[in-house]
Amino acid sequence: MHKIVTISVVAALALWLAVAPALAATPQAFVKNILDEVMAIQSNPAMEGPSHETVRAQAIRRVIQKNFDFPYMAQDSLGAAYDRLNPGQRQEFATVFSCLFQASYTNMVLRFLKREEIKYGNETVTGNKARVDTTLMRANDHIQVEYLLHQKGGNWVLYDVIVDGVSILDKYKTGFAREIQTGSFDSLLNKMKTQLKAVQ
Amino acid sequence: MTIDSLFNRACEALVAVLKRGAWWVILSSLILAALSVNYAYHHLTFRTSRSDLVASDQRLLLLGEKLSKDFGSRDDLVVVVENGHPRTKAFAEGLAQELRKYPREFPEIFYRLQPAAFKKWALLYLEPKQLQEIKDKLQDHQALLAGLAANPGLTGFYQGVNHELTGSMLGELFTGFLQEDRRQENIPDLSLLIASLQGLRGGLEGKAAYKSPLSGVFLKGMEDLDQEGYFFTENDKYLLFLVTPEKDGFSQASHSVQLLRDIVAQVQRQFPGVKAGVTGPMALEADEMGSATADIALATWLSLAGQMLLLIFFFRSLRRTLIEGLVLIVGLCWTFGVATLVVGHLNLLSVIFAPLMLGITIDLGVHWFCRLEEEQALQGKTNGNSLHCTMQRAAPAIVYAALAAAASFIPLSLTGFKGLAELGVILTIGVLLMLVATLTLLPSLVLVTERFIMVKTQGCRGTPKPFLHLRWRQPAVLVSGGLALAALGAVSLLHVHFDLNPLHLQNQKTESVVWEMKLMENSRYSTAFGAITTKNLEDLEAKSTALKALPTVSHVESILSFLPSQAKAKREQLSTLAPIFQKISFPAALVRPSNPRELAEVLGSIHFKLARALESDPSLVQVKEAAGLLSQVIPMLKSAGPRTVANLESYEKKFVQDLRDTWDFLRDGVQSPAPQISDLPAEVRDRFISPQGTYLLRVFSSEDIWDPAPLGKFVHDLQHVDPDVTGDPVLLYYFTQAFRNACLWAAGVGLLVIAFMLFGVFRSFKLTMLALIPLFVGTGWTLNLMWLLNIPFNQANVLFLPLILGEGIEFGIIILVRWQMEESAREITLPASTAKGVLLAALTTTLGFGSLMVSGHQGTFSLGLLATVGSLSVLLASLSVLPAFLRLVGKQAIAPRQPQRIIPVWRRVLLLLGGKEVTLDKSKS
Repeated sequence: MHKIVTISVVAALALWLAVAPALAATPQAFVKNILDEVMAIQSNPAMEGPSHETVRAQAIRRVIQKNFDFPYMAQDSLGAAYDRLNPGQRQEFATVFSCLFQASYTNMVLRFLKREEIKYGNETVTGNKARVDTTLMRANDHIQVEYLLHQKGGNWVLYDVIVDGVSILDKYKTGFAREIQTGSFDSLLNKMKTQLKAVQ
Repeated sequence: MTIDSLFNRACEALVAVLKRGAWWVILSSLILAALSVNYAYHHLTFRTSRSDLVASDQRLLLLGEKLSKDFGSRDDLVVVVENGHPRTKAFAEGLAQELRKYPREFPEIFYRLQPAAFKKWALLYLEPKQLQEIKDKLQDHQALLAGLAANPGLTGFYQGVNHELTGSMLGELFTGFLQEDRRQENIPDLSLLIASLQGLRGGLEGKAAYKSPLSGVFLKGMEDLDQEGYFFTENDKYLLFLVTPEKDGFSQASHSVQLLRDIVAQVQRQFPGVKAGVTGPMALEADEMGSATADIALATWLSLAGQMLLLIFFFRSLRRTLIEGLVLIVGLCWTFGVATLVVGHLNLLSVIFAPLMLGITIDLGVHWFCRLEEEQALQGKTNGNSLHCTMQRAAPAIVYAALAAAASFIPLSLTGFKGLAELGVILTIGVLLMLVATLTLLPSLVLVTERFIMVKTQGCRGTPKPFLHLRWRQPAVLVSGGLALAALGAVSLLHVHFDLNPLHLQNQKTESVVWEMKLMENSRYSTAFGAITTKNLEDLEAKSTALKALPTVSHVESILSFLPSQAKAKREQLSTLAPIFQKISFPAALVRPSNPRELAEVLGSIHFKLARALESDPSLVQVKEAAGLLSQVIPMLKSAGPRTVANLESYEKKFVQDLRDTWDFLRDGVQSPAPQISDLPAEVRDRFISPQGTYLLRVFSSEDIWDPAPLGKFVHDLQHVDPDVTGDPVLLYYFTQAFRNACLWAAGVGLLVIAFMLFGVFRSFKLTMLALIPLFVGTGWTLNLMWLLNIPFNQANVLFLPLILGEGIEFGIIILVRWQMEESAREITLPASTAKGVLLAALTTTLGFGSLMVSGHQGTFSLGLLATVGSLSVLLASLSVLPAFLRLVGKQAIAPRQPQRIIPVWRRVLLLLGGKEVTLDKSKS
């Protein structure tokens, strides 16, 4: 008996130690980790040039996959319309949204994040939410990028990125609301699926 | 007493008078000529308008006069300026400035509506599609405008632009698939950014000129209102400058046209490369009249000189030629005097009377001289009896020929067509006066210049020589051939068409015609328009709508044209923007100047995005331009010294003011009610609303208004909408029809009158028909040639028909009267002197008409050509077919000339009562 408890505690401790860095990491550190990983992919000489774009895209996508809260984003982007969906629709929408977001964000990173210098600004934590301000700089130009995070399962995850004051999640909200108003949820989902097919 | 004996006595008495008082006759003729010329010089006027050719009591003319009275006769001159040159509008302003120096000559000019008067309604004058674009732009940039209102200035502006650009790029990346009309680029339209950066760069460099970057975006279609308001044709190919000159007859009109052309040329020197010309109704008429008078003067002198040379050649005598020339000049002078007294003016038709009259009336003297030659050859050169015999034997035929010519012109004066009537009256007067001159002045001049021994009348003896010693052995062949060709003329008539296009008559090289044709061919616009009046606005709208629906109508102008179309719908469209203007307002002035470094940072954010986009696709033109401008402006801001800071502040103040002005302009446009007629400028209202409150509609044709077929369709369509329509196209249509019909009627009636006259002279139907042979056969041959040479009839050469009557009948009379009177003539059919006279007469007539061919006026030219061909055809018929006919018919078939008795009135009564005829033939006593 004593042996089982000891092993359990050790295992739990080991497990805790494995995830401890994530929880122990500050929001800014979390964001920095992600950006460092992405910059490493973008500047890796082995993955340089248009011929390796697909490899880079896949690597960047993996980083995005593990660091964004897609279910939350999917729900938030639909707003009140989400409540009117049945579980099957919700699941389907979340899956499509997740894939589409990953593809779009990967595209954005590939085009706009290359050899920029990243300056980290303020970090604001309010309850389980946080905001990390960064500045992307290149030559004499820069843009402000804010990352919005919240805690999920003890870890920080991203749920929105604001570029020069424009929120990506808000863009989704506005676009989806207009589409549902002029058409329907089904027409929205169909368009998302069509787009997904086109980018895959 | 018979007519013949009366003639003989009259001739004897005339010769007796002339023997005693030749010098008195000469002197009094010359004095009369001088007085006539003086009188004509001071009192004869020119009337150049086509309306002067039509009777003044005609309904259409009265309608036209009422229209002129109610609305003023305006815009008679049009300066047409070719667009496409960058300084076209500046040229118009320059021309206006020059013309204002001549207020008496040009009391009114109308070339532009000042935009300031229409500024607050400017939005309503845009097309619905343009309005929708402005509305979309305002709604799309609503957030930017709201942010700008909260933070007015360049920093706030570019922050808003940056926000819009970012939103657009992110939207395209993440939600672009949701748009139906998905654009291929993820970069929005950068026109506003580029325009503002160009302005900012200029501002930082200290350039004083400010160009609004906002108007190109928010006021598309009204970017530079200060450059609007000019009158262009629908396809913008020509700018139209309307001038109303002072009107006071032909001389003033001519002077005005020339002055305007001089001013245009003067202004053109300041604007090299700008092409412009003067046209319009007054210019077309003045050019036509000016060209015609100049050419006619030349034609007259050429005619006179040519005829004199011909006479010298045929008479072998300079003296006789000069005598005939003097007689013609004196007769012409008398005609000018009497025409001035009776008619008072010359019009577009009667201006050609001089060469026509010379061509016809020279024949009278020619026949007289030819007979004198023959008599002198038979009786001796100095024998005074030759003069007596010439008068006795030639005078009757000459008198009949002159009377026939005069009779052929009389129907012209009965057509009711004023232009033709006046020509007919002048020609009739002229022929009769020339007859008098030929029978009095001509013999007097011969008497005083040649030596005649006057003896007692001995009778006229001698046998004349035959023409070319012809024996006329096969007259039937000649007759059949001639008549067959003449009959072919009836077929030819079906193939000779009537060209009623008045522009084809004009000198194609005159400036007014050149520019009128340019307008018609390149922009479907004519300076001529139909005019309709209405009593109220409802009627105006209804007729305007009905006219615009017609396929023959290009466009309609009325007071409604100056009000915005679909005003109600546009007001509703604009009213949806009202909430935006209620929420957003801009301060009057700059609150806080932008910090250069702050501004540079914002611009840096924009540059960051554009540079990334350019790396992905270097072919993006706008992105490249904007990025380039940012690369210039950002360093200037980052390293800004005091001067740059001052320039920035100065530019920013203008920018904020511009923002405020543009916003106020839009707000006024959105909030202003639609303009009413009373809001329009006075110069517009005066043009389209009479003092009596009637409204004017100007209707323009969509096709060539100078071509009779589309003109007819256009006029009928207009009359269907309003039977009282008037204006130049309507007048033109009815004028051309009336003129043609009048000429044809005059020719027909003239022929009948002449036929009756001939019957009265010859007292024989057969002889009457024989006398008409040269006319019929010659006309038939002329028609054949017209068909062969593709010469159409037109408004000018249709005059040939009544004119050829006198010519054609004269030769028949001359030949037939001698043939009937003299046995010796019948023996040889055609005496040489008679043939010579006919030949010379025909050639001089040909020269008289042919001289018209020097004219650049195509109508006059075609009249000259046709009349020349006609004269020669009639000549050939007179010297071939008629003598052959006479030979064929034979002396027996034609009764010798019977003494024509003068029956006193009491005997006529007895005859009427059925009493036996009692004759008193004094010739046998």
